[in-house]
Amino acid sequence: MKKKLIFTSFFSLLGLLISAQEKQVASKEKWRYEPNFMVGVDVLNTTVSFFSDRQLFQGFISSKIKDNIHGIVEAGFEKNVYQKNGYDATANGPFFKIGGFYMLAKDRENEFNGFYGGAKLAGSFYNQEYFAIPIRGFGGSSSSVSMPSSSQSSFWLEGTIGGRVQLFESNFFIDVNMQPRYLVATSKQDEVVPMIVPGFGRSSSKFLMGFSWNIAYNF
Amino acid sequence: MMISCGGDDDICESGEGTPRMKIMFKKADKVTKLDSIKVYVNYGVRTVDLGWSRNADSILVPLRVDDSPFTELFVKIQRKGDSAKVRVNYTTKSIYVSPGCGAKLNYENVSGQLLKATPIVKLETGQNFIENEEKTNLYLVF
Repeated sequence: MKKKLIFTSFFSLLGLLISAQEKQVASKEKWRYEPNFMVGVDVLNTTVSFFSDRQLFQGFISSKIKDNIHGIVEAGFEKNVYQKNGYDATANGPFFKIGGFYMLAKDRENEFNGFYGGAKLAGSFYNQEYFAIPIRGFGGSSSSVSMPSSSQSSFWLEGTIGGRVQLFESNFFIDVNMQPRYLVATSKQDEVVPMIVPGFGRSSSKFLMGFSWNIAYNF
Repeated sequence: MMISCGGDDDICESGEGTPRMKIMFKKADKVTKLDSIKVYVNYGVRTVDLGWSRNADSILVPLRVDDSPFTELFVKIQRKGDSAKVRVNYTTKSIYVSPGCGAKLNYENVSGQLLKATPIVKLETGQNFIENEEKTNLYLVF
């Protein structure tokens, strides 16, 4: 029920954003609106996925709404394993983020070049399986318990601090940003705190820093 | 790429693990202190010497946490004396603790079985479950 509500609120926010866009298109003259959808793909994490257990694919669509304010929607998929300290777990699933950022400093000649800061709401709806949760013993004696596969969801707040640079005279941009994340809520299976949450990362600590390096195209 | 800040997934604070079994001693039906006692425990993968305890009124013995339904102890009270062999039977129940600690075990239906006497004469059962380290679970009668 809760999941459903949050989902609905996500998409209504998305709807607001899109309708806001339409309004701007309609009032072109007033705002001197130039179509400015920017679509980006996280190249760094996609590349790293080929060489590690962690497979993370993510991208974003952002658009200038008014003056220095931009809206952003992100989506992605992550498959990850956690094999450490006697744990053996896997989780995979999609995640979504929605938010906005403010251009803190921008190039006079190209308003999409510059540094920005903002915030996003994020949610992940994933499937997890814990093959082993350790039971620590004495004298080399140890064992583990397991949990069957189940569906879980987690929600977090994410900051975004980054910059965008136009690649030469093309419509391509490089977008680099850091994402401090704070896990707000998570569902639990048998009270077990999840060790990994797709899109968030290793979740036994509530605070994490994410990093992405994107190539974006400005339409 | 992900940088973890203040990751606490390695830390398990003491006292959150599997509780140990508390053993006390009796002589002539009275709880007593022992001048010295040494316990070895067979943990399956190896036998561990828990060392001498001097002037002890009780000892705490970690039991096995693997699938074995019992733990075997060897007890000695004199350096050159015989060792008695005690088998502690139980059933286990696992309880999740925290990300760092993982799960712990509680023991139920705890009972002792004297496989080889001398210097122990007999065993007396105390509280037959182990959820913490407060109550005595087994008395060794000398």
